[in-house]
Amino acid sequence: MTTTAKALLRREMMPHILCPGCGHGIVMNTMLRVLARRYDNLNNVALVAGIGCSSRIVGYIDANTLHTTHGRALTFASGLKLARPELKVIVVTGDGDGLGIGGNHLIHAARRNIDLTCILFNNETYGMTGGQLAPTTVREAFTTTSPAGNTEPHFDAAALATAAGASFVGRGQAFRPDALEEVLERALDHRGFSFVEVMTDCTEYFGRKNSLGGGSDLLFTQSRSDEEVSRDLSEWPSLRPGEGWQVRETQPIGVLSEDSRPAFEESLGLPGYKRKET
Amino acid sequence: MWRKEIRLAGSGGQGLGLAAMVLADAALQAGLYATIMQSYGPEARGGASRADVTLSDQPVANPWFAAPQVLLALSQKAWDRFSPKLEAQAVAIVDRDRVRVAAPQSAWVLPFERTARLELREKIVANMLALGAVGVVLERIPCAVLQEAAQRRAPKGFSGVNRIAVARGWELMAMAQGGTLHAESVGP
Amino acid sequence: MELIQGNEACARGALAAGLKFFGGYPISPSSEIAEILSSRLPRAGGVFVQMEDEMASLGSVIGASLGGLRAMTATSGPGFTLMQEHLGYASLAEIPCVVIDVMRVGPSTGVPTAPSQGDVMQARWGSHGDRAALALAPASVAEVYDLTVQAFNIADRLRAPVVVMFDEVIGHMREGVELVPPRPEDIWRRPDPVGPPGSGHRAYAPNEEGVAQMPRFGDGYRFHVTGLFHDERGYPSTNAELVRQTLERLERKLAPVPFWLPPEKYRLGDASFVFVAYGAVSRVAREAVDRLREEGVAAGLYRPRVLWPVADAQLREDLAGAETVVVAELNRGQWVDVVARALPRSIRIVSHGKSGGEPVTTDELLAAAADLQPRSVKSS
Repeated sequence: MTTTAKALLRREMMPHILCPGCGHGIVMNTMLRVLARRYDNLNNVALVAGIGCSSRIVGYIDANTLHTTHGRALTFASGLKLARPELKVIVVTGDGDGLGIGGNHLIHAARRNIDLTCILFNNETYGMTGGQLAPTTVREAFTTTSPAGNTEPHFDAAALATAAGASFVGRGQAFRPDALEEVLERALDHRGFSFVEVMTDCTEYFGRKNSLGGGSDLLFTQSRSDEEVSRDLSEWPSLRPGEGWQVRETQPIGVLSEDSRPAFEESLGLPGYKRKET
Repeated sequence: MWRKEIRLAGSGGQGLGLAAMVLADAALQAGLYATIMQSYGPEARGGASRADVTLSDQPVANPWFAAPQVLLALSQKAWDRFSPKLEAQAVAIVDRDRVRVAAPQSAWVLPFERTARLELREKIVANMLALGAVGVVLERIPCAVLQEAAQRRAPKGFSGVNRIAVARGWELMAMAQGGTLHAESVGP
Repeated sequence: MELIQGNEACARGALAAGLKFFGGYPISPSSEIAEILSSRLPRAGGVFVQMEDEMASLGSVIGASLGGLRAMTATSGPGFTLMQEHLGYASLAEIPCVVIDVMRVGPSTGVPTAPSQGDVMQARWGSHGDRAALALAPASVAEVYDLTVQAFNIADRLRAPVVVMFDEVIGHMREGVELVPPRPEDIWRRPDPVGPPGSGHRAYAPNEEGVAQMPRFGDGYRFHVTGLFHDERGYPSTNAELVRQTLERLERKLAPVPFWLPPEKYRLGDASFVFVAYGAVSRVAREAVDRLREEGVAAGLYRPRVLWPVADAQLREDLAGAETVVVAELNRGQWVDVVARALPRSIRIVSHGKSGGEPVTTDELLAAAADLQPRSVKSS
């Protein structure tokens, strides 16, 4: 380790706003461990976020941090990255932020293949505003605006990003920070638009409304019952649910797709991104 | 204060935008003030595109006008669209092979495209011939100044023919005014 | 002497001012600005990117500005509406940027793309909250160039978004101009950061002009930028006193702008009959003033070049000698409210608004003057 996760925290910003049992803390901690391993300090790292619970966490990290408007983090990040191509720019967004109000920007950032890493915290609800229906809420789930159960189909964020042209797409879970760490490392190594969807739960609203229990109960519902633990990752121990655990339908985690087409910065010939001789 | 509002109208591709630039350029050379307002977008590509030029010996306050004092129409659509707005004392000039002028309207009807094609072997310089004709009725810009501007603004390979076209158009209009050129419709 | 369009003058002014980033979305009648910059900006070492919508455009501009570049976007009414949230963001987060609004008839898609000055109040109040706004209004092709340069200067010095607004007539008209590029000493810079680099940098500590002294991202100053009200470190705060003080400071720091770019006062000295007009309308108002003077009417023109903020006291002083003030605008009467608020009740204030997409003409203004000044006009 080059530094420690703790050393990268802005401790004067504490206490944070996350609720007890929220999965976001685990994801943030995982991000910090990855960053601490890669950097002495975050002078050359910019963290850009939109609006929502997940977006608030950039403020807690001692980097160049930019908390923008609802759904538009990728647009601010794109301008910053094109202005300062030497910076490592990481976007933190949520499912409502990145797929609802900001869905258009996600598909266009993916299409351009701009060299950013976008980490989308998917808790299947709008947590900050009180647990309303999100574009990621699965059918029949209860939220404060789907009192009789959701009747709409949900977005598969990773599949959407892949279809739009993201050159790296991965998925992780708050339940498996070990595997998530590897996915994040791979995403940060990638040149081009890398997109990581992280399943992380909202206990206060989604958990409660759907009788899925408290923080740890909710985490365990992310566990996979039998199939592969991960796709295209190192060997990680499988964590099987015990008897009587409630298990939700989950999707594959790991590196879901990866290719090496030129990043937007290369096409523009920006410093550090000179076009490769062919 | 001397002020003239000139509408150069036709269909997209007839080079009326360029003609407007040449005219305004020449006006600046002649010590006048000039503005251009041009139609653009779908309108510019259709059958009745226009470039409005305002010339004055004072700074031009308003580059916009509803009806010009001089109308050049190089297409029927342009004539049909813009001629009804003309006031009685306005001067209209049209291309003989493109525009039919029906009574009670009147216009100078001159063979721009035909002359360009048969004499100058470049159909595309009909706009410069027409511009020469317009120059005559303005009475403020010498033919040589208009020719120079046409040469300066010419696309590659056209500077010579542009010069000649302006002069020839000037001549056609002068002949028509002098009664030595048969103009099908009665002049204003 | 060159024959160029207002939109081209705008693009060239931006380049002369050192523009290095443009993020935009096509919309008539502003698109020529993007088209010209798409070829010329990369050659000047800058980045041009066509974004997916207007929110993305201004978002990318704010991001690039945080990276230290002079950045701009250009749009028209419908796009300007979409940009309002980010204008508010740039105001509160104090990110310099320039937004060009080439106005067309609205609301909604309106009349594409007939001229209008209908966005004047949108520039002032379009974003939610008590935002302090900055908007410049050039009236000629040459002035579009000059005020675009000044917009970047003001944006950087005051760390604020600056809107340059003109109607479609100014944007699309060509006229003969001689553009005078700014000298290096005419270019203003952003305030330098105070204090050493590192964590917890007080990026929002104001200088004596009330302006945050922010470094750019990536220079070792690690700080937080947010659209939440924030303390000097940029950290979010809901302290009511802090909110009030911040709003007051953001307004105060813009106050000098109308003095940096003073209004044009044409034959105003002894004028009792005054037109107030900006942009394209001011051109015909000036002509109307000359015609009225020939007829013996003591007419004058007051042409603000800065629409927002307004120096109320200055306006009152400048128009103190007027008996009648006609505020002529290409809308149903917007800036007239500013004039009415600033002037005493003893002065008669008349709104001459015009909508529909046709410019105001000199004859219309003369007719309005004849109605309002029956004796002096009819006796001539």
